[in-house]
Amino acid sequence: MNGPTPVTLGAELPVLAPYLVLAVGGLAVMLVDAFSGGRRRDHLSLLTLLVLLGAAAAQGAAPAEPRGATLLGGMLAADRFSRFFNLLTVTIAMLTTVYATSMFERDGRYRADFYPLTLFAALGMMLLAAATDLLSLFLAVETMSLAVYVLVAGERGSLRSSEAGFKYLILGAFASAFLLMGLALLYGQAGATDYASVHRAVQAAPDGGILLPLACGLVLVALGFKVAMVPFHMWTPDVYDGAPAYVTGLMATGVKAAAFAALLRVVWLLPPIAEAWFPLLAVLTVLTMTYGNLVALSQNGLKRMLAYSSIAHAGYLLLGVLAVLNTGRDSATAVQAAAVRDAAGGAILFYLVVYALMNLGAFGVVACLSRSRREEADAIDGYAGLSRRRPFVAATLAVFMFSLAGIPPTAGFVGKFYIFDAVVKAGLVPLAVWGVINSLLSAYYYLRVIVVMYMKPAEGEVHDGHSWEAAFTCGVLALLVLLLGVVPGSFYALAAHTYRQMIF
Amino acid sequence: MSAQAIPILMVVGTAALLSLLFLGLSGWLGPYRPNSLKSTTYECGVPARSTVQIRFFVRFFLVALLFLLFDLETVFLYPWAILFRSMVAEGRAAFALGEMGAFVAVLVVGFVYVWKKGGLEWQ
Amino acid sequence: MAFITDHILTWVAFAPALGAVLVLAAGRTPGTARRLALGAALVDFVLSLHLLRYFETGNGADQFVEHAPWLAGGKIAYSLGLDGVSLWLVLLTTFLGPLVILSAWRAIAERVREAMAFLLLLQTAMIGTFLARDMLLFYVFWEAMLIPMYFLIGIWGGERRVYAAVKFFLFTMVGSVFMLVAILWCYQQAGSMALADFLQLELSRGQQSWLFAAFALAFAIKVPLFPFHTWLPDAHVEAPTAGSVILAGILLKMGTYGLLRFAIPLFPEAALALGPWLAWLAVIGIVYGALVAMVQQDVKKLVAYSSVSHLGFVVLGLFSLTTTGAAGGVVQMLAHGLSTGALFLLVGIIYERRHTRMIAEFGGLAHAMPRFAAVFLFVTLASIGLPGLCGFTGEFLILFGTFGSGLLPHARLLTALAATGVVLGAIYMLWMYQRVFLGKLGERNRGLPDLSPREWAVLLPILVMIVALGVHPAPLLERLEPSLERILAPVAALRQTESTYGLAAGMPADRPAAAVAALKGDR
Repeated sequence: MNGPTPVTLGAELPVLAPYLVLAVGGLAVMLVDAFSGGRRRDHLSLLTLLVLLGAAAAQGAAPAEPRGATLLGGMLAADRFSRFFNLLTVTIAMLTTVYATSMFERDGRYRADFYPLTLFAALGMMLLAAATDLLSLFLAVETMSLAVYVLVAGERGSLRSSEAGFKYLILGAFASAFLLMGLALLYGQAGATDYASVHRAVQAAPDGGILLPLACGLVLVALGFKVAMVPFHMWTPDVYDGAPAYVTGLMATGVKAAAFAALLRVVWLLPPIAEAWFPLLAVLTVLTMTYGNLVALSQNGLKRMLAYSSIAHAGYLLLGVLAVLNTGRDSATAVQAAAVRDAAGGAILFYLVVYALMNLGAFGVVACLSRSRREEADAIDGYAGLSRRRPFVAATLAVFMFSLAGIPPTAGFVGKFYIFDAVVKAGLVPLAVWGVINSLLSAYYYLRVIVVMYMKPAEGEVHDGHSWEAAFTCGVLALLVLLLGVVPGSFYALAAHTYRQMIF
Repeated sequence: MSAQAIPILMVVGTAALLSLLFLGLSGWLGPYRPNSLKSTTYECGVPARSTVQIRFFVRFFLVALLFLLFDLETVFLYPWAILFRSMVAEGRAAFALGEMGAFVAVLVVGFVYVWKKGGLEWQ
Repeated sequence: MAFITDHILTWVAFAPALGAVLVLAAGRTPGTARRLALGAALVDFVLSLHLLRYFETGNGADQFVEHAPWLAGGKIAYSLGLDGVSLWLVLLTTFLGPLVILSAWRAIAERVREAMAFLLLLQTAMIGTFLARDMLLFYVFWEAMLIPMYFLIGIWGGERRVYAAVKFFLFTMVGSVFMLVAILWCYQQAGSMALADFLQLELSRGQQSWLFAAFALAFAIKVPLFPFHTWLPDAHVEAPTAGSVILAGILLKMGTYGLLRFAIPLFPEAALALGPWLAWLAVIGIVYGALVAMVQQDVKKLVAYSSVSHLGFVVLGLFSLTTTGAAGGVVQMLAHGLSTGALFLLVGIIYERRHTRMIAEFGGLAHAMPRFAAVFLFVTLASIGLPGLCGFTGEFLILFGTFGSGLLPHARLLTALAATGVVLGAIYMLWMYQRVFLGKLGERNRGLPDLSPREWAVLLPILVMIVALGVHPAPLLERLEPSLERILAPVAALRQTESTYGLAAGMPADRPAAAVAALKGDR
């Protein structure tokens, strides 16, 4: 360690404010819940939204560090990168809260523990994106995961929800163990836990050692688990399927985004070793894309289909990570390599946001059309004739499906374009070819949903729930998806700039 | 290192050999004539009327978990208490106290939550 | 007005999209939706006439150019331009637009508002594809075309509409994703998405081959070139009449347009090396399409296969790599758009009356519907290339250009084989006409009403254009020629440097307009 650093909490308080607001807000929501027994709980959702808004406002008001700074003696980064992910996380959590509340209202049964748990999960995600120390990385992963375990299993009385929670817990514990082992090995090599020291130690380490590649591999396994990389994806379909739709949306977007944020910092931290893993990582990326898409082809449930498709999308994002890693390997100049790396990093951030928008939109439609928590709008056949019953909701889902498939003029196309562009720039043309073949595969199962909604008459059981909040939210998201599909320029510039300013 | 380990290895090896030997001998030499009466759980006393796996009331687990949670947290008080004197000497008593105050406050919130939610009531 | 004329291309491209928004917002009753859509399409046609009026003849460069930075600091731009080739294809689109909407007046009775909006959105995407001068913009329009067409087939189509719609979507996408990678690769080399910068790229022969293959696959599927044509009969048969007309009239031209605009000039060496293969595929397609058309029981399917055959001519003309052949290709695109579009309209008219398209169900229709029969005969003759009608000009120029091409090995053999396609075309079309319209009038076909005024309004403009294109193609050719020369300049440059190729001895100058004029003089 760097010795006892005098902690000047007062100076750092404004920058820490978003995290503190969420932590204190979560506790406050718990207390309010504890003291309001028996009554309706819609004030909890209002309070939760206020806390999240407060966190966003605190993030907005936090003094902008032009080149970033670390907090709490190197534990957390206060840079544009963490600001970007904090705002993204807060947005995701707010949408999740809206969906969940609309479901609870339809049921007339509130699930009060959802609200503080969502706040704590969001806190964990934010910390994960900001972590610049091995310890804070681990604590953030655990904060996030513990909250999400309970959220997944929280549908009491539902066997599938319990099973999903149990599976996620057991496998998540495995991943945590891997992570802890990797971090311990890194600490053993570096003699310190902050990223800067680890980076220096890694650079100074002699070649040929086994410990550092092993440590790096273990950390990659753990983060690969969180982002559902093949072969650490086994939990994904069951958990996404078994968890309530609103939680699945949070997991597919928030957890994934935070894990990728951590991954981006870590691969930046460990370049020489990460490169040693490059061939294996490339193979796993290809497998991730292909497996997700192939299995998604034959799904009959929308949630399960989206689960497999989220594995495939993790593959596209890993393509971006490969592009980050591959820069500087060939004879390109340092300036060019940095440009490509920034392009790839920006592409990943852009894609994460776009993915969050379209996926939350799709899960929002599920939440909107579910009759109750027991009867979620899951079966794809139940969407038959939706374009006649609910033309607006059907149109938004169609937009999300086209976007997920990457058809212009939607944001999904632009996101893929940036990723593939970066991959080609990094000299990985075969991987780009494989990527587009995969997006071709994926078009088939996304189209199927549209076929059912628009081209099949309604028969048998159909989904006919209704929630104007969820429908309105989906409308806004669809509009954003189209807007980012037509004029993505400035937002992409922001993402690339954000990545460029990332510190560790 | 290796020279010192040899006696230990010998002890371990001998123990393993001997135990395997006795097990094997008794299996080889001993008569084995099972019948249904011999196979019952107990050869004396009343027969078991229900499953032997007793189902504990779930409250026991809850209490055990809550006890573990709050009990373990007190472990964190010890290093703090040891460091507290030196922190005071450095003139950072307020910070140290504030840190522990925040920690305990979180615990108290959890305690109140459990209490109000009825986690401490037996029924 | 300057506000419109300064950005005339944007207005032409996006007027239908505005119309679509209007239809969705205000088209509460089917009648209103139809009238609004028709109005938007007519406005678009009038706007496009402005292009024709102010197009500078003799100038082969892009005109009415618009340019605004879009992404990556302007390296990717919203860049539109119009040259002779684009001019005519855009005019074809805006010309068919209102007619298509009129043809769907009664045929589409449910969810009219959405149908009209999709038709208009499709028109925007198609015009945008013809105008885009930035590769990413082109790709966006190209892919965006899929969505409305997919819905048009899938919602308003026939029995197997879902199968046809998905097949259409996936087939087209198969080609275009590889094109996307090729575009990205070139983008990385050129540092910009501008078509002009792509044209400046210096690529090795091997690189060109791969890139050409990626582009050509996308376009060949869209054309569709044999053996990538299997989606076409399904899509045509299942699509509603309006969809079929757009599909045959304009959408198929995207493929040949792409070959001409991008694949050939961007990768001239590869076009020279691989072009003969495509030319052979084209000739196979001509003969195969004609043979398969001959045995069809369903009139619509027959017309669909005739498209495979006709588009084969276009591809053959393009890969003769002569200005004459390419001009013939473009003229054939227009002619096919008019005549096949009209054929699908006519098939749609009879389907509305009898709800069947089986040839065996008909016979002697000429007695019941004499005017309809006359129009059908006229369009049939145009389709098989009767001199004086539009089909002849195109086919003549294509065969002429191919025959004289010094760049195509076995050019004369190819020409001869293609010419048999003309004969076969005459056979299957006239045979079909004979079976449907001549002979004894069946009981069920008695008393079928003849053409209504609305149907006349749809057909008459096409008939006029068919004659105009056949009798007096000069205005078309003189606007086309400079642009084609410009587009084919990279290939022409190779022709001078590579000694293995040369203009075949004894051929007249490569001037399509002159060729046609000479033909007229002889007559």
